[in-house]
Parts: sequence; C-alpha cells; structure tokens
Amino acid sequence: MKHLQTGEVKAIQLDRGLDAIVEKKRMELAEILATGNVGATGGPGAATAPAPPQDNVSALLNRARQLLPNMPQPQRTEVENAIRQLETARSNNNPNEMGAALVNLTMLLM
Amino acid sequence: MATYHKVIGIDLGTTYSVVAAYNFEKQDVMVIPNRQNEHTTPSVVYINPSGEISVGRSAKEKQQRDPEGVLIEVKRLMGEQDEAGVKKMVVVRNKQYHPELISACILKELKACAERMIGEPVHDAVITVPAYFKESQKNATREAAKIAKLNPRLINEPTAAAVAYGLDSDEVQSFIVYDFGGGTFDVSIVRIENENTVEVVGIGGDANLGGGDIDEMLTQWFFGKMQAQYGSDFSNDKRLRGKARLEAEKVKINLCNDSETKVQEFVIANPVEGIEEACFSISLEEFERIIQDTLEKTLVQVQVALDSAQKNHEVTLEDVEAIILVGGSSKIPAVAKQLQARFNKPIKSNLNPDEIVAIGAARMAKNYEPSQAAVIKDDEELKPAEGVAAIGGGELDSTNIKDVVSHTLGIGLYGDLYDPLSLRTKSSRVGSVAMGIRLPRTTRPAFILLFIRAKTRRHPLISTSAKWLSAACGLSQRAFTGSKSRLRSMAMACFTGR
Repeated sequence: MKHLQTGEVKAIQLDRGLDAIVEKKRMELAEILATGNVGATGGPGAATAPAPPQDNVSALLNRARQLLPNMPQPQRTEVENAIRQLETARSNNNPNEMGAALVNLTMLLM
Repeated sequence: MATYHKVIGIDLGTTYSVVAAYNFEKQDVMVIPNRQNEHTTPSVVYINPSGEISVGRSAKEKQQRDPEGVLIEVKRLMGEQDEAGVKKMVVVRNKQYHPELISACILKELKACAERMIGEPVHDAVITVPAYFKESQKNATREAAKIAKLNPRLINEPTAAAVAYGLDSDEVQSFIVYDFGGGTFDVSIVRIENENTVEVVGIGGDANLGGGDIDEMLTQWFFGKMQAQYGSDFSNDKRLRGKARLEAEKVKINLCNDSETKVQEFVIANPVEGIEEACFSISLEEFERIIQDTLEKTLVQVQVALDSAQKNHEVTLEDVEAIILVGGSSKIPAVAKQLQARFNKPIKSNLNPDEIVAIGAARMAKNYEPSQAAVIKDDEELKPAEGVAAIGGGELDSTNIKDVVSHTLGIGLYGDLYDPLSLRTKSSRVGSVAMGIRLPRTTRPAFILLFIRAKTRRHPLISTSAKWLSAACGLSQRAFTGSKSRLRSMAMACFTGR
C-alpha cells in the first residue's frame, strides 16, 4: 500500500469485511443453533470453503459492463470511456492513474 | 422487580467463559454458575458424528475419547482470514463451520445458565473482547451473539476489569491490567478520570501466550520424567498426551490455588501398556522455575504497554496506582511476586481473577435497559421490554468509555493507496477524526467505510451513513445516496493494518 501522506510504500494487511456474515446467513445459523444440531455430513451448519476474493478492479469492471446495457446514452459513453481509462491504467501498472480511474468509474456507477 | 437485572455480562474467553448479572437484592454483581455449579465454563464445543452439540465441561471431557469432534480456542479464528485472504473456518470431521456459529454455541449455553438463574428470558448481553481485537473480530463476536439470540454490546476486557474494581475515586487513577488467560496474554494501561471516564491508553501482549503454554511445559516435564524413569520417549502417544495435558492443568491449578500444599503429585493411571501408574511429584518452586521464561515474556510486554502509554498519552509508571490481575494464569504466585519486584506497585487481586472481567461486564450491563426481544434482522430496532424504565441510580450511569484504536485505521483507495486517519493506540473516537478531515478532491476516495464509536446503543459500529461519508470526503451527501446495503457493498475500504 502507498501511504498517501508520506509516500511510503509498505505491505499491510487489508480487511474489507468481505467475510462478514450477512443477514440471511445469520438467520440460517440462528435456526440451526436453536435446534442444537448442526447436522451430520453435509448438514446445513457446514459450509464449503469460500472462493478466494475477486480482484477489486476486475469486480468493478464486470459490474460496469453489466450495467452498461441499461444506461442512458450520455452516461453509457461516459462509463465506456471510464472503463477504457481504467483498463489502460491497469495495463500500465500505474497505481496513481489506476486510483483516479477507479474513482471516476465508481462515481459514475453510484 | 426481578431479583436479577436481565442484561447480563459475559466474559467470552479463549479457554473459559464466565457469565454474571447484577442482583438487586444483594446490590452487587453475582457470577452465575453453570450446569455443573461451576463459575467458569470451558469455551469448548463438541460436535458428535450426528451433529449434536455439547458445550463446556462435557465437551472438554470428550477430548480423551473423541478429540476429532472437540473444538477449542475458536476465539482465535473469529473474524480472521488466512494468508490467501480466505475466511478461517472451523473444521470438524472434514466439514467446515463458521467460527461465529461455534462461538454462538458457547454464548447460548451461558445465556441458558443465566435464564435458569434469573427465571426469565434474557435478550441482551455486554460481551467483553480483547483490546487488540480488530473490527472484523469484533464484528464476528457481534454476529455470534446475534446467532445466539442476544443483543450484544461489546466492551474491552481491561476496561471491564477496571470497572469491576469501581470508579469511585475523585482523582485520575491509572492501572496496569495484567490479563494472563488460558489462551492469550494481554496487558493494558487503563486510566480512570475523575469524571468517570475509563480510558485504555496503552496495550501490549502476546496472542499466542497463555495458560495452555504453561500446561504444555508441564506436560513436557512429565514426558521428561517418564523417559528418565522408563527409558522410552512416550511424547508421540496422542492418547497419553491428551491425558497428560488434562492432568497438567489440574496440577497447575492446585499448585496455584492451594497455599498450604507446596508439592503436587502428577498422576496418570495406566499411561501405557505395562505401566500401572505414573506418579511424579512437583514442587511450586520447580514449577515456577519451569515457566520462568514465559513469565519473563509477560513482564517485557508490561513494559511495552507502559512505553506506548507514555509515548501516546504521557502516562508513566509513576502514574500507575496498582496492578490488577486478571485471568487464571495470573494466580501463579510468582506472577504477583515478580510484578511487584519489577514495577514496585501494589497488586489488586481481591476479586477472583477468573471472574473479574465478567463482573465488570455485568456492572456495565446494569446501565442498559433489557430489550423486548433479540434482534437478528438488520432492519429491526431494539425495543425496551414492557414496563421497563432506565435503570439509573447506579454510580456507573455516566461512565464514558474510551478505548485505544487497536490498529491503524484509514481510508483505502483503489489502486493500493491508503490514507491513515487514526494511528494505532491513539485513544479517540474514530468517527470524530474522520469528520474533521477534508480530503483533497484529487484524492477523494471512491468508497469509504467509517468506523464509528457510536454513543447510541442502536447505532451500528460500521456506518455507511451518507452524512459521515460526505463529511469525510468533502463531497455532497447526494454522492452517497442509495440503500444502506448498496453503500455497504460499494463501500469499501477502511483498511486495518498493524
């Protein structure tokens, strides 16, 4: 990670809370617990290992492409440009450019 | 009025848990015994091949017969990810379970004990967590409570310990809270201000050091004795190792609790085929010599906490009034002796170190109104139980808890850019810090997730409030319109990095 205030680059552990239990899962687990039985092999309390987290940039690009068909024309053009900008920044491996492109695309999608 | 307050205090420990509640007749907090009439319940869950759950002592005893189904120290997995960024799960008989579910099993058992004693349903609990817990770990603890149908309020363990000793002084007082539990060692410097403010100003510790390590040292000592006497190394015998660990814990407890007996027998019947009984004597002096290196590590961490308190809050050893002992392992006589010798401060140990955290949590719990029901859904609101007014009247009513930020918090931007907001061990309300920041528009974050130490009990800790987001970014609130779930899912990245 690049520290914006000092410019220092160092490895830090990120936690985006992606593994947090969602409401649906919580309700499901609460029901299981109420029965006092988490189930035999393959029971409902058991879970398979979650898939590795998707790359954030790819996730945003995928999301943008999914939304494109339903966008009004002026916004669609803007988003298409932002997608191109982001893809270029990524291929150049420039974190500053990529950050700006991500901000731009994200704001357009909000 | 019911005898007990219906908001309970829970010390959800790595190896043992304790539940307590305020008793109106005795005007004091009482520790609630479990089904075996013991004050401490092992934080152990057993899942049998049919999926049935048992918790506590009965689960712990299964370690000898069916260790595959026994789950210990699940607290270590709460809210954690492995190196590949995948959530750590509990594995039993090749099946995976969410750590939150296993932790909820323990909470449900403690809740049941409390309900049996109180005689009414319990929906709320003040649950303690270590001061070093990250938001993801605290969040996982909250989820476990909700799964167990408890409305959680979390407070830090050292804060609870300080609260247990009361806040009735008119002067600013600082304490060292030395918490040597079964699975972890934490030390905190706690400052109690005259306006009833409890503040954790410095932390230190070792998440992989606890009573279990001492049991292991004693177990190694036993295998050394076995080898000396019978000429063979039995340390790879899993069944014998399990028995030896249980005996080691028993011997340790007896040596520490029984001031009369200075020597204990380490006895195992039929340790291996052909040997009827293995029996070795160990004195308190020998025991303390075996664990001296471990004790030294804890003393070093006390100094680390003091250094951080001095650096960030100008609290020095001279400001410290006393050392509060917490956790079963702090009962080892050498702990108090060496702490006193090294830091020259009086030791507070008149409350049982095993129970002090739960007692503090229950004292805090007295300030909360019981709810009508447990809130499991996100959009439900806590409603006070019918006929319940604010408890009031207690000396803790105006208690203001401030904790250190255990990890550096900041705003994360896509592209691996990171803007720290609040440094680790700075005591502050993080939300306030964020509110005061206006980021340059060129670096405005795409997504932000703010951690807010909410004053209101209904407020979620992690907020996607448009007001907060816009204030932190210097953008219009309109930029952050959308459903809470949309903001949450798009939002992103308050990174926590050690």
